[in-house]
Amino acid sequence: MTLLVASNLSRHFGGVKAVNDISFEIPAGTVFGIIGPNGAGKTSLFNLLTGFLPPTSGSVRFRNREILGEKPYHLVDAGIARSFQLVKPFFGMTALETLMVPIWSRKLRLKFLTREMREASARAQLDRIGLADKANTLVDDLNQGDLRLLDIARAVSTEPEMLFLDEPFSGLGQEHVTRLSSIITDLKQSGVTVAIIEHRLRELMQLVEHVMVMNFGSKLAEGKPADVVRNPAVIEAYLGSKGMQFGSAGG
Amino acid sequence: MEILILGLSRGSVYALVAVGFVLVFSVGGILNLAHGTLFMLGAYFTYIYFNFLFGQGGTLALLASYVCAIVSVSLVALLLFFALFRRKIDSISYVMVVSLAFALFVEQFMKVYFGVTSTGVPSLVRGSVDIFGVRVLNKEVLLLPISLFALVALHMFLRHSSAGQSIKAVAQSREGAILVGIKPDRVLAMTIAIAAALAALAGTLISSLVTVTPTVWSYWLIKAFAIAIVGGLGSLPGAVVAAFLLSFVEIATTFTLTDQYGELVALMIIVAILLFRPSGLMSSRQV
Amino acid sequence: MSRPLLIARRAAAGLLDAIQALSLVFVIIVAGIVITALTSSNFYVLEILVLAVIYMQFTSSWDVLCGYANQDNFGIAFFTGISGYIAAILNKSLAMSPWLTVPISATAAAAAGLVIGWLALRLRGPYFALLTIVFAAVLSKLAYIFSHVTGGEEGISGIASFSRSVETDLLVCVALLFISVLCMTAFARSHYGLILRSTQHNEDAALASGINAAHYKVAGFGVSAFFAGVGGAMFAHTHMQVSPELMAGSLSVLVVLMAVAGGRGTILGPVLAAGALTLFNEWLRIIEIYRPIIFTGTLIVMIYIFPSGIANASFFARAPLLRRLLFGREA
Ligand SMILES: Nc1ncnc2c1ncn2[C@@H]1O[C@H](COP(=O)(O)OP(=O)(O)OP(=O)(O)O)[C@@H](O)[C@H]1O
Ligand SMILES: [Mg+2]
Repeated sequence: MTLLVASNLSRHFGGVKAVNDISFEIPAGTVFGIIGPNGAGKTSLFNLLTGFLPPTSGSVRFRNREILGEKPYHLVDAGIARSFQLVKPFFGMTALETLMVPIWSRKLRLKFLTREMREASARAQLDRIGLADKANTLVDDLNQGDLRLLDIARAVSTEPEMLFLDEPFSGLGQEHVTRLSSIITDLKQSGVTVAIIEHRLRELMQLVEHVMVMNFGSKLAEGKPADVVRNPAVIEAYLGSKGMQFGSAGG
Repeated sequence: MEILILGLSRGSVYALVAVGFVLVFSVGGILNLAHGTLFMLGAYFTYIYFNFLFGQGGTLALLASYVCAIVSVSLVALLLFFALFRRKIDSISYVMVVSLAFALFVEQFMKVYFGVTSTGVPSLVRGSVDIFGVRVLNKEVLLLPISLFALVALHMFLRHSSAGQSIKAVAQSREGAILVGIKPDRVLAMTIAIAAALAALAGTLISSLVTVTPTVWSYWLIKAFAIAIVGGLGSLPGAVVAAFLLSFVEIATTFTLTDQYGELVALMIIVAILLFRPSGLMSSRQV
Repeated sequence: MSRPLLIARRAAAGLLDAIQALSLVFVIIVAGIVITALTSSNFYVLEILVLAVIYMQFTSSWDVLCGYANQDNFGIAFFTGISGYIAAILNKSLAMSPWLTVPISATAAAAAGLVIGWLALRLRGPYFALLTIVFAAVLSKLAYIFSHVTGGEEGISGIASFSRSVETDLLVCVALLFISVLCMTAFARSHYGLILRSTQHNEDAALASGINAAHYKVAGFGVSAFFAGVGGAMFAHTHMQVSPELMAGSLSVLVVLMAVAGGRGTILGPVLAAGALTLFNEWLRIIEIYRPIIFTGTLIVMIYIFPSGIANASFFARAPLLRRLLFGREA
């Protein structure tokens, strides 16, 4: 079953075609990778899919319902969550408080949890990313890796069906990378569909079944990781634009 | 016709005040809500120097008190920056609040010492001229060329001097400026001093036209603030255009309606711009 | 259980939590005022206490929005003014009792707050600040233009007081303050406070967490305006007159400065600061001419020493017990 279908999706900024007539499908229960050089339009694509950017044209159907242009918080109710490439934490709040925020989304609010249940569920999420001991630490005092995991936990807390992760591995040390990889595998096992933008290809390729390559806002290639890596156009795009060593963990 | 002349002369003074306000915002990312106070101090210092230091002498004494007033206000601004702002310069809210407290303090101070005294200062020029059939006071006419001269000088300074270049560099990118070895702190101090000098110049020019009262700062602050935002916060040309725009609207409405309605219309225009074009009428960011 | 019942239960739990969160010092102050009202007949002392209570009401109502959403409202006088004048007009021309005018005028202020809050949604920082300044300025211009209704420069006088005696008036005011502070504490400690805090640095992450940030900000505006309105009506019915000063920029500025000095985002910090500073200002009357200079100078010094406000001073992080005593439980 396909969970999400994007057709002829475009978003232009003046003359820049950040996303240019892209179509693709994400099957339910899979991990979907999106790669491409800097400025290829990956984040813009996520912003379109999660309601943060009004489209120029196109259509996105999620579980057979048109969702393009809906507000981000309505999409959360529909089962879509995302993390951010640039993590901007809720300064002045503790890690635990950060994870209390999604509990007040419409979807979870209507469960009418008691205070104890709300706190327990936030603690469980903290535990899952291995930050249980930092529950009462102000986010201002957390390191970059912890903050990224916390942002992902915030997204996961909304109990999504479809999770968009924008460069989740960037800035993580080895320990955090291992933890995050296992969380993503767990999520997949429990039926969550995940889409990941990533520059660190080694980590990405181990997780995904399917990769889409973007360049200048357009789709360059799509397919199994092993095939995509050998695609001459993809190699050309990477070597040509950034001189990045494809195949190694660059980015 | 009268509207045109008054609009131009009033607008040029507005521009002097607003340009400094915008300049400080572009460079430091701070809003100095004591900017109206600096303007007011320009007028007060002129009065003080002229009456007490130069013993109400002739034109030369008047010119000297102008210069001294401008220098003094710049020093006050530097003091304000180093003593109060620098403590938490990254917080736009702290700077707004502490500068407002300073403004209140000066207001009270002036109320106690000059509350009832008239602060009139004679003008550099006397008499009046006929411009296209309208009688205008010479001192009113004088505002425009002096202000324009100051604005052009500012433009040249930013464009051609190395200090001006460093101001522009910090306004464009603080990080980039640091990389090429500019000390943003020092540049900001210089900017604040220049902005204060412009505001003080406006104050000295006004001092011969109207009597300044200790509460006048808030009126000028709101004007500068509004002009800055109408012009697009961060754009100097925008601020100059907005200054003349606002002064024309004001003068025109006061001529056609009553005073109260005139100000109401000006306020409503600001509300409309904030709501519908918050980035200002000229939204490109340039110094 | 039905939804309204659950929400009611949640509100009751919030109030209970707020009672537990109140600080001992605040309770002592309220008790002290009550005792003074019951025992003292010193007109001067009672009048000053009324004024202090009104300022406590103003600053806490400012803080309940601005301290949490971290937006600077430089026009709180809009709400105190509109409410004070509505109370005055209702009382004078319809002979309505203060028991009706207070809730009606505060509700009107809240409605105005919802509208302004909605209009200000997209604006941040300087833009937000200017909008609030300009709205307050528009209101006071309107008061001059419609001077046949508002009395122009003179304002409206001859408004009925709460009761016949200053003592009872003070009791009414302190009771209103106590209830208001309790409600605002409950609001700030509820998910409304949590979400307002989350939106101040990263609204996108709040949206991505399924939060309709606009709803919370507008609601916060309404609550802040409501309690500012209670304060404005309090002023009208204790001073028995309202004048343009109740909607003046200087009042707005004073409220911001006192609240910031007390420590934004703590409710009780601004309350205690407003109380202490009002009394201090009165005490300074012994050196009348220099009083305003010393008072504003003190504000500068306080804000300089405690740029985040007294209640947020790092000192209290090391002395949690003292903080609890003075400012109550942390959010
Ligand atoms: N708000 C915006 N306004 C104007 N241009 C934008 C905006 N957002 C993105 N762009 C442009 O769209 C293009 C795509 O940007 P995007 O951030 O989507 O790329 P990306 O693939 O995520 O890059 P990276 O790997 O660096 O994160 C870039 O050229 C960028 O400059
Ligand atoms: Mg990106």
